[in-house]
Amino acid sequence: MEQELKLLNSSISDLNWFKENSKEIRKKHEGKFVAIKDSSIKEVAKDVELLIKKLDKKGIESNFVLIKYVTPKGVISIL
Amino acid sequence: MNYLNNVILLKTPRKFLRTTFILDTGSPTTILGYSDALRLQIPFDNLSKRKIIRLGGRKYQGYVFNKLIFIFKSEDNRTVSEKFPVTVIKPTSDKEKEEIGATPTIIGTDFLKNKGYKLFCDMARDIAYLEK
Repeated sequence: MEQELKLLNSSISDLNWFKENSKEIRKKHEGKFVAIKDSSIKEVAKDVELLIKKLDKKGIESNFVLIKYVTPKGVISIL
Repeated sequence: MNYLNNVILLKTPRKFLRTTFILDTGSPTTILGYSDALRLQIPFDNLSKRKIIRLGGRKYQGYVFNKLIFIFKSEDNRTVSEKFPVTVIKPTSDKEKEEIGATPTIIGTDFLKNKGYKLFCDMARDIAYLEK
């Protein structure tokens, strides 16, 4: 349970970092998927499958990163 | 923190991952996002068919996966685990993959009803939470 709480707390930090830096991230990676860990982007790709492969190549477990899609400017998603 | 995005851990018998979800009161069904399903290595070929899901204006075949656990962080800094069956969408083309790849895991009203959660939402103050 402690390990799970640690992971959740680090996820919250990473999510907050992503939001605080969203403008800069969007300028560089609009329309792509980014993998975030420890408040930094570890890898970027145009689709999730490629992103997972790139992370594997770097020896980064995809389960431990937060994957977010960088929505292009001016686009709103409605489900 | 954005009240409609939050972090969870998702766990199966073999894998777990960190991710975010969207709570959608307009969705009667809880749906596991495709990118989360990939990372959890959900065995698509072994799943039974469920209903057709209309998402973003398109129809997709849904499959049921019964072995998923949602782990949330509570206000008093503890974890709350809920096991709940989810619908998984399996894209059948690259076009479909592209379209649903960005859709996150969606918690629908079935989860709230079945697990007895109430949703409190104050958009003016950017607050939203679930409580039992």
